[in-house]
Amino acid sequence: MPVNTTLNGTVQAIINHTAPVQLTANPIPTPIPAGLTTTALDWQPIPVFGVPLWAIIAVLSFAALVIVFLNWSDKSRDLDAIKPWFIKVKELALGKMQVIRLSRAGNFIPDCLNIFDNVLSYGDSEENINQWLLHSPQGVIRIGGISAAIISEDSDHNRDIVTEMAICHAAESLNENIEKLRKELNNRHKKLVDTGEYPEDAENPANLIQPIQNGLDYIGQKNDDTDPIFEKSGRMVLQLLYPDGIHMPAINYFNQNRFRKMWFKGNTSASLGGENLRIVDDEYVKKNDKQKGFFEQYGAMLIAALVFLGCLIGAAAIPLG
Amino acid sequence: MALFLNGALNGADPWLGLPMYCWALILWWLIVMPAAWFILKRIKWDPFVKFHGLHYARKNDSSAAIIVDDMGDAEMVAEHIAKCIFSYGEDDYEIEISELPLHLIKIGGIIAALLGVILTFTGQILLGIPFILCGIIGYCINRVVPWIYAKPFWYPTKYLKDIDWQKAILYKIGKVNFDCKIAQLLQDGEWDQYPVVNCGGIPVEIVFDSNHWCERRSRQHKAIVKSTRPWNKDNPNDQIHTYTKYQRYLNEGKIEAPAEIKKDYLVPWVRIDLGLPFDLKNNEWAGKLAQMAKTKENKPSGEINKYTLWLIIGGIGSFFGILIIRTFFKLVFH
Repeated sequence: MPVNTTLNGTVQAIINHTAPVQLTANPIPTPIPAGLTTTALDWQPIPVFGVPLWAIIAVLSFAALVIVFLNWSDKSRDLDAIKPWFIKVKELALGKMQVIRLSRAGNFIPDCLNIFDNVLSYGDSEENINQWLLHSPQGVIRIGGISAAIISEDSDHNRDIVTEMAICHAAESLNENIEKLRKELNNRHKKLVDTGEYPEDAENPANLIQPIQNGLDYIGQKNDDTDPIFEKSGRMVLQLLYPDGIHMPAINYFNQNRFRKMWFKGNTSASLGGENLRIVDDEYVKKNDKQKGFFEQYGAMLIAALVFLGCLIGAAAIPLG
Repeated sequence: MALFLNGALNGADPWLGLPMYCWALILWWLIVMPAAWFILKRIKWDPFVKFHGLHYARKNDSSAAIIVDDMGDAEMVAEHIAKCIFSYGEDDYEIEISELPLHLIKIGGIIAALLGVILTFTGQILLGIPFILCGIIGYCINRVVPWIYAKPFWYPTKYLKDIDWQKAILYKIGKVNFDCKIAQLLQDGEWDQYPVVNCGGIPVEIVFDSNHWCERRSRQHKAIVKSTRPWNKDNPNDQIHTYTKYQRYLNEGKIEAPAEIKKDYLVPWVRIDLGLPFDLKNNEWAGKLAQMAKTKENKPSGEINKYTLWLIIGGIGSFFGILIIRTFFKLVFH
């Protein structure tokens, strides 16, 4: 059988020189230059863009770093409100103290105040005259190694919330059981008078026991115009009932509505600061100190101003050679 | 083959012949990422360790609490630490699983495993091993299914039925704590909340914890948990889940106080008199008044005269400055 019968038309045309020769060949892969190498990570999942797998992994790795940064930044941002606590601590130096101000407006404000003679103040500030007496050493808490007194605008001394809670617990207990207590005291008084141990005109202690409804009752002051009388104070009654001190529950949640009633009205920090300013003006600063003469106050400055003007005029007037 | 970036990162290292990008990726994940994690944590998170409760409170949609102990040491914690006795997430749960034909699946598992063994011995290892694995899973179906259920299970869904599954998965991944809501539910809504101040939009309560009840690792806390469990078991309609209720029941004598805890705290009169003084006397801050007076005395002259020196220096400086300018103009224009 002749060979050309087995060939197709195209090949036969080429053999017969009746058609141009068109050779097709598979492309030869470009050789990798010397010194370079590849791995499976050079596979291009999206061939159009020519981006290999390792480049995608690299981008994802960088994204992971960004996510780590955002994670910690986001967590840290939640704590922005307390960061002044640590910013203020940098101001701590001799004569300064950190405080937590529980404002009546309901804000938690870390601050750093001047302290002198146990009085916390904003120093020479004329804008903020509030002052607090650091009366209770137990009214100081420590967070993260930093001590801070708890203060609020409506009290002229630092606040010891444990004391406030203890008095309130004791006062409420007294108020609840006052009738029973009076009855017992009355019976005992009657018994002692009957046996002759007490004189007949001895005062019945049941009459001294009064409920403690507020701060004035606690200090034994009838109203704002009278002086406190210790013998008629709730403080004295409580000490008779609890000679060692007041027992309170081991765990307590500070309820302002409940414990606030023991505060004294009007004794605010601004009142203390204002009163101190008045006392200083009226009693401490001498009259002649307060009314200094013009030259005493501005003399040095006036001379300096004259020197300044003299220099200007002199420099302008001196003839240049 | 065209290399990415003309093979700029494909250079082979002289040791293992790996391309440079491999080393870059390895170093990135072994050094850069752990270092970044550690440094960012140290800078942005660790310094505020005593206030982390604020973050968790925001995350849990609860309030925060400043817990103060008898020594005055304080820490801001999330609400569930300050109030809840139990950590519900740590409890073991019997997960409800829909009924399955366990026996049939087990028998199927045994058959599949045997088939897999036969296939393996006849040389068809790649087919045999999957059969064996399926057989083992089928045989252990009673353990595998609870394990699968437990993975996406988020413990509050056991108590709170109004959480859909998408939120449950999100909250589980985010480690959101719902202990307060669970405790509130289990106590029939009984819950004490007394926010005193607001810190960054989160209500903050102040808690006096004299005996370290709230410290999760303290022996007092463990004793409370131990003594509360039997009560809750015996009184399912009057369960105790908060410290306040526990304290109340202690005071009422319903529960006996464990030996490890103290149920009350004595505040001595010295402290009380310092904390709530009868009358603050001026002489207690006479030194402060004297200082204020001294400052006031020095203020009028001190305030204005402190600029005197600068004014004189400025005058002398201006004198020479004007002379220099005049000399310059004279030299240039004449």
